[in-house]
This record gives sequence, C-alpha cells and structure tokens, in this order.
Amino acid sequence: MKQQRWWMAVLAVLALAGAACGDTDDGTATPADSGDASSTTTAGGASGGDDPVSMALLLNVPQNDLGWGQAAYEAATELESEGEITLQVLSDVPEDATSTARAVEGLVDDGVELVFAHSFNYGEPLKEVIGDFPDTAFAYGGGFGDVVDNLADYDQPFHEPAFLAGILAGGVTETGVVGGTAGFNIPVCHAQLEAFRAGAEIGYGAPVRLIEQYVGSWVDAARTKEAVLAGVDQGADVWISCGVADGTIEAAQEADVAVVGYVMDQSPLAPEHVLASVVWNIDEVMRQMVEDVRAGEFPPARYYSATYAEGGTSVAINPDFAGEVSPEALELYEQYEADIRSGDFEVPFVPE
Amino acid sequence: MSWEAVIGPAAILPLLAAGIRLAMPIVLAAVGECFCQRTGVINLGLEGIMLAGALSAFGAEYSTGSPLIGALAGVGAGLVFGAIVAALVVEARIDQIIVGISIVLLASGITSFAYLDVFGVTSSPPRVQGWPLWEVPVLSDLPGVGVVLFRQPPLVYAAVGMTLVVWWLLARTRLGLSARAVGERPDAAEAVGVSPRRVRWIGVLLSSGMTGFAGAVLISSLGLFQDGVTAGRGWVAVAIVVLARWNPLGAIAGGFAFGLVDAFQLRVQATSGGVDAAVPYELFQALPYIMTLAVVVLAAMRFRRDAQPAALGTPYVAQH
Amino acid sequence: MTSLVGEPTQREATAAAPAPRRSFVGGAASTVVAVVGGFALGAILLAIAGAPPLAAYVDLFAGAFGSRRAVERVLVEASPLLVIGLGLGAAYRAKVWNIGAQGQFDLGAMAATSLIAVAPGLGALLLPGALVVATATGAAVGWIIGVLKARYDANVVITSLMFNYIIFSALAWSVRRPLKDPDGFFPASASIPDAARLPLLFDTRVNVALLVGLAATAALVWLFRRGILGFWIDMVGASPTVAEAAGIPVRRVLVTASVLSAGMAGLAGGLVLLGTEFRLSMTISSGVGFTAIVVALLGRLRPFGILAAAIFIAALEVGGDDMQRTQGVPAAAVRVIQALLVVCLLLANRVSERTAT
Repeated sequence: MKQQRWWMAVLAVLALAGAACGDTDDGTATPADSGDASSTTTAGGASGGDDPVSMALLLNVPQNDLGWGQAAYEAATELESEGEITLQVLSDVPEDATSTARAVEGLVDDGVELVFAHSFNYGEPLKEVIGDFPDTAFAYGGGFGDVVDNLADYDQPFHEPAFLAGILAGGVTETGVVGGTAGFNIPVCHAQLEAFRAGAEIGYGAPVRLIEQYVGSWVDAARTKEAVLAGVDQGADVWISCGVADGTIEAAQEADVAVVGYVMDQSPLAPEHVLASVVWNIDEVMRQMVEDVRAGEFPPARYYSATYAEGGTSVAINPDFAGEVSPEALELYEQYEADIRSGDFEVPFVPE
Repeated sequence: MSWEAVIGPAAILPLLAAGIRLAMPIVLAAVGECFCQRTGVINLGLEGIMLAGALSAFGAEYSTGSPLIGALAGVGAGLVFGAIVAALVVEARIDQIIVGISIVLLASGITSFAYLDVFGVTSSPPRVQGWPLWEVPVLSDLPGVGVVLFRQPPLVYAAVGMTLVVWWLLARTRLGLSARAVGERPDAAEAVGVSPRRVRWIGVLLSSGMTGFAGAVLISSLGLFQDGVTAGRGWVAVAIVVLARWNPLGAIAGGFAFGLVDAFQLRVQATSGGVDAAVPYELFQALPYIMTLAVVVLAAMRFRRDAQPAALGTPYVAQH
Repeated sequence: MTSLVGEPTQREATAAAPAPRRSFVGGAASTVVAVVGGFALGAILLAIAGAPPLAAYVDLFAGAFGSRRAVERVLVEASPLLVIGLGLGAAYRAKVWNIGAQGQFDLGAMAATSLIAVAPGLGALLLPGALVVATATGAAVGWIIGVLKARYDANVVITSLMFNYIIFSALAWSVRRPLKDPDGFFPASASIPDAARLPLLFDTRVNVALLVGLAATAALVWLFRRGILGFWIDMVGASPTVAEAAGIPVRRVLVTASVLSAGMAGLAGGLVLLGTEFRLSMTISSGVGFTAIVVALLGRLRPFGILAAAIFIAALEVGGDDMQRTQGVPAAAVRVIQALLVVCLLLANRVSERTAT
C-alpha cells in the first residue's frame, strides 16, 4: 500500500535525522569516491541496435505537475511503451545555461540521440552547446520557427483550441466577461487568452471583456485560486488557464462558474464545471521527430509543427456540460472547427 | 480601471472574504511564532514546516476522506518537525537561524520527493474535497458581515479559536508568564523555578504544530497539493511576527492586513486591463511584500527593539 | 568563536576574546563524519526511490568527476556559488543573516544588462563596467538592509527576504518591457555583445569567474587571518555588546558585512550574465542564491571551507543529474541529500565542539 510506505519512509527518515545523524553511521553506505569514470550502468547506452530511438525528456517542472510537464511526460512514456523510444527523464532541470548544458552533456555521453527540452527557456542555453554535439538531435518548445543547425523548435498552438473553446464559452457566459490565468505573461499564454476572447465574442455574438490574471508564479495554486475568485466577483463566468490550471479549476468549482481545462482532458477534476479542455497531443511532434531521427533526417533540424488540423491539439468537450452550451454557439463551434481543419479559417495569433 | 469593482459597495464584502482566506494560514503560523519567539526561540523554518503539514494533511485526507484526520495529520507533521527543531536549537543549541534555513531546505526536498513517490504520475490527479462551509446559526444571517465571517469551513473557526487561545495563554496564564520571562531573562526565570528548556520546547512545538495546521488549512481550502504550494507563506508569517511587535493580537491583525492587500492587488489587477495596463501587473504582485517591508521598517524605526524579547535567538545553558 | 553556534548570554561577558581556533584536524574530522552520516541517511531515501544507493552514489561521483568535461562543469557551477557563499559567510560571521542573495544576484544581473543596453559603445570598459555596476547595485541593497539592521535593528532575515520578492517582480517586468530584446519573441533581453563576455581560461570552458572566486577566497582568508575588519566581524558576531565595549564600531561593521555579502551576490549576478548566460531572463539564476546559503553553512563560514563546499555542492548538482538519469531518482532526492548533509554537519560540529571544550 503506497500510503503506508510513505508514512514509514517519512517517519524513518525523520527519526534517523534526529537520532543517528551526528554519530558515525558509516556502515551502511559509503560515499563512493572510488567511483570510476567508466562504471556507468546505463540502460540507454545499451541500445546499439537501430529500432528504438534513445530520447531524453528535459523538464523544468516535476513530471507530476498536472499540466505542462505531465503532458509531455505522458506522451513520452506512451512512445516508450510502444517501443518507439527508450526514454530518460530529467525533471526539475533549472533553465539557466549552466544547468541545461550539464544535463545535455551527460545525456549525450550516454548516447542519447534526441533531446526533447520542454520549455522555451531552454532555447538560448541549448544554442550555446549544440555546436559541440552536431550529431545529436535537439528540440525545444519555442513555438515560432526558431531553428538553428541541429536544434529544432516545436510549436504549442494552444491558440487554436483555445479559440474553439472560446466559442463554447461564448455560448455559456451570461455576463459577457470571460477570464484567463497564467503564471506570467509569456507569448504563448497571451496568444491563448486572446484567442479565447476572440472565440468567445463569436459565440456570444457581442464584444466580450477578458479579465487577465497573471499570478506571478507557476506554482502558487492558492493565489491562482484567489485571482480567479477576484475575477469572478467582477463578472467573469467562464475561465481558461495557461499553465496554472489546477488553482483555476478549483476556483471555478468553488465559485460555480465554467472553466476550460489545460493541456489534457481535465474534466474528471470537476465534472460539473469543466466545460471543455484544450488538449495538447504532444506525442504528434514527438513522433515526427523520432521518425526523422530514425531515418537519419534529423539533424539537420526543422520546425516541427502539429497544428489543430494536423491533430497536434484538440478540444475535449465534457459531455456532461455540452447541454449547457447554447445551440447557436455549438453550431458556430462545428462550423469554425471544420473551417480550421480545412484551412479556410486561421485563428489569429496575438503573442503580445 | 474601475475602483467600484474593487472597493465598491458590492465588492467590499468579497474582498474581505478573500482577504480572510488568503490570510488564514499566515495568521495561524504567525501567532504560533509569536509565542515561540517570546520564549526566546526563532523558529525560522515555518515555510518548510507548513509544506510538511500541507503534504501530510493532504495525504491523510486523501486516504481517509476525512478533513479532520487531515488536519490532525498536518498538526502531527508540524510536531515532528518541531521536535527536530527543538532538539537542534534547545538541546544541541545550534544557531536558530541556521537550523531554520536547513529545515526549509529539508522539508521542501522531502515533500517534493514524497509527493512524487506516493502519488506518482496519474492522469486523474489526486484531489481532496475539504470541508463544506459551516454556517453559524443566526450570525450567518447578519447582513454583510454574516456572509464574510460566519460562513466558513470549520477549520477556519478552529484556526481563529486557536489563535485567540494562544493570545490568552501568553497574556493571561502562568505558562505565558513563564514564556515571556524565559524570553527576556532565562537565567532569572530559572532562578524562580521555571525550566527554560521545557518552556522553549513548548514554544517550538506549539508554533510548529500550528504551522502544520496552517498547511492543513491551506490544503483543505485548495483541494490539491503541488511542490512548493505554500509559496512563501511561512516566510511571510515570520515577517508578520516582527511587524506585530511579538504580540499575537498584532499578528492576527498583521496577517489579515497582508491577506487583504493580496486580495486587493488581485482585484485591482483583474480590473486594470492586464498586460496593456499603464501600471505593470508585476507591481501589483510585489505590493504585499512592499507593504510588509515598509511596515517592518517603520515599526523598527518607531519602536527600536523594545518589544523584542531580550534573549531572542540566544541559546541557554542550564545553570545547574 | 567563529563557529556557527551562538554562545549563551551568560558566557558573553567572559567570552570577550574569541575562543581559540579549533584545530584543523578536528574540524575536518567532524566534517567527514557529517558527510558520511548525510550520505547514509540519503541512502535510505534512495532505497525508498527504488535505487541501489551504492550504485547511485557511484554514478553521482562519476558524473561529477569522471571526465574532464564534467570537472569543468563542476568548476563553472561552483564559481557563482563560491562568490556568493564567501560574502554570505562573512555576513553570517557577523550574525547578519542575509538570505536575500537570490534577489541581490538578480538585481546585479539586471543592472549589468541595463548598462550594456544603455551604453553598448563602452568598448573595452563594457565588461569591467558591467561587473562594477552589478556589484554596486547588489551592494546598495545590502547597504539599505545593513543600515536598517544597524540603526533600527530591523530583522535582516525579513528585510532581505522581502527584497527577494520585490526584486523578482522587477526582474519579471524588466524582461517584459524595458530590457526585452526588441527582436525577441520571449521575455528576455538581447544577447550581450562578445566584447562583454568573460574570457575562458586556457582551452577549457571554465571562465574567469572562477579566478574571481579564488581571488575573493584569498582576500577573505587574509581578511579573517590578518585584517582588522575580519577581527571586528568576528567580535561583533560573538557579542555586539562586548564588541561595543571594546571600542569596535559595531554599526559600521554590521553595515559593511551586509554590503559585502550583497555586493558579492550582485557581482555573481554579473559574472553569470557575462560568463554563461549572456542574456537576462527570469530564469537566469536557477536558485543559486539559495544554494549558496547551503554552501556558506557547509563551509562553516570559513573561506577555504566555503571553497570546498562550493565545489562539493556543484559536484552534487552535476553528478545528481547523472544519478537521476541512470537510477531514475527524482531530482528532489538530491535536494534532500543536500539538506541532510547540512543538518548532520551542524550536529557533528556541535558534538566536536563539546568534546573539545
């Protein structure tokens, strides 16, 4: 039983920290200063064959963050279970140049062929080191076609599904005010919120006010929640989030307003309040990269894009909620969905 | 920008309610810390202890479904960490500041590690329900304040009660007198039969337990745990103690003032037009901290150190 | 007494003279015991995470010292930790508990970026100018904190910490608005010109920030062995009242200690900007200002100790990546092991002190 294991673990550590610490305790494990350089015991290095691509996922957050990091982690483990890749995960890797470089160097030494660095902040640090590893494929989440040598960029076209979710939101809002949260004002978030507003205006059939709440942290769920409640008090009755969805959803549930989930289908979190979710099928770009690496076509790098039309993102409508959306808005949603799919309509991208 | 939407007649009560919600964990931790510091011990590790309390409460509430057990587990985790702190500062007489910083490092690492190890990566992330609001009969029907003050989850009433009890303990009881004496002149206190060691253990455990409870309150109202979920609230609580001049009632007031400013800035930001606003939103985010800094500085300038316990931060060696 | 441990009030009067320096051997022995104890506790954690502890530690140290490149990484990583840690160590010896190095670091980097943005035509003066500005702005915060402490006894832990939050908000704003690269997509400054980048040492990737750190180490060793200020700092740290009675300008010492620590944190911000990051962003620091606190404590506030601790912690961070990769240990495990090492060291210190007296 997991819980019990946890309690025992914490208690054991605490008890030992209190009791055994100051005394010599060197019988159990000695710090291995005898560690030999060649004695690495990696699993990834063993892949001398040609089939699974050796991929590493670099996360700036824990892999269980319920959002950004977890979406990538789940996609990568899916590829791993399909036998497409062997996977190494480094979580909580700081995004400064030194930390990025040291993580990358270790990975390359291990024979990793593809480094999937999942944050826009890894871009510049990676540019400093990729020259040393011209045969390794690198990718980072820039999202604006920033391709350099063997460093690929992949997009995060959240604005497209956010626009569609916005149409639904327009069909739900009674006040004509919608809200959006983000940790900080970064381009991909700004574009997502603006697209949400644009969609809401179509669904609502009139101008819609957007309340933007930048919380100042990606991890302060309690303050995010209050930021949403503050906006609810000012009339916003449908919410979307960029990167701080958990606090946003909790707030929507408490304030009894609608909310759009972020990156994965989050309707299980609040079945009565999650209207739909902006879903990122990030495995799409990963698959493209893996295939290119296997085929020897990456490097050189290119821009990896999986738009809405290509299945890179989607909207997961909560079936329990669909009934609350006005029929007109649903119809508009279907119409725009088809137009985006066919390329007849392009969702405006407003990064700032 | 509409001030009406922030402090207008219709907005003022929600503003107050939000202030209370944001303040509650800080107030709890700060009041406990007041008691602790009056015994002469700076328990600086509140941020870490609150995190431990939060995770412990979350785990317990998640596995049992009971917010009460969750709250108790939060207190329990606080006490465990409190015992470590007391062992290090009261028994081993290691510098209190250093111990505090170390405890924060330790707790933030352990909570992050344990959360991942226990709950793993799941597609249906763990949530707890928290306690439903409890309406105080009659009082909750009062117009205005009734909604703000008397429709809260039970933990909030418990928290308020706890802070008042601590104030009473410190101001009106023999234990409180002993605590204050030990914080001023431990040698003199010992001479009249008070054990500074015992009193300081009580102070550290009390503040740690309350801080663990604060973590439980935070989690219960939030419904989820994430790494670093306390987001600096423990540090703020220590700051509140200083600006409250070591007075629990002052800490209650100071904590609520902080929560109110935070609630205020979130509301101003909501109405100010986001990124295109003339005043950058980052300034709003910094506002609670600017205010705290200003008040700490003003209080220090105005009162010097007259309210600070004379033996604060100083280890004590029993004379016999 | 220059140890981590404050002396009891009752002894202050008799402790006018600093206690005799503990023998180096005794100090080193207790450090070894503590490190072993910390790793032993960490082993429990690793076992919980499902990794064989011994193999994990082998990977950790192989990752840190197993290749020339790894060693270079450790030295690059250690440089800012060393510079900040030395300043913090000096301040902590005076019991000026500056825990705001993170903010002072960010501010230094911001100031250096601003200078480069405003006066790119400074030529050869750009690099030293940026470092001077970085140091000066950090020191300015230190001066404010120090004066508030010296004149009004405002709690340094609190004031320095509040500055962390405020400066971070300023940083977030600055990379979004005034310092943002006009051609850039993200909130970050433009890349700094090559002329302002720190030179590398020989044909390694280690930049001159390491030399700055080593020079600062030497300077502080001298300061605390021979310099009057070092003696004053230790006296004030041992007992302000006794120091006052002995005619030491206590307030000035407190302000100086604060300025020194904050200035060095600001300098480190400049060094990281010019040495490894080359552009300002919200993520420029990776929490180095907090890690440096651990470094100062592990180094027992002594310059050589801090030098060793900076390399040790940098090795843990570098090797921790390898351990995470090869053994699947979560990143948090490394942070817990760091904290366990600090706690064990505190206890071991205490035990060895008691047996010494």
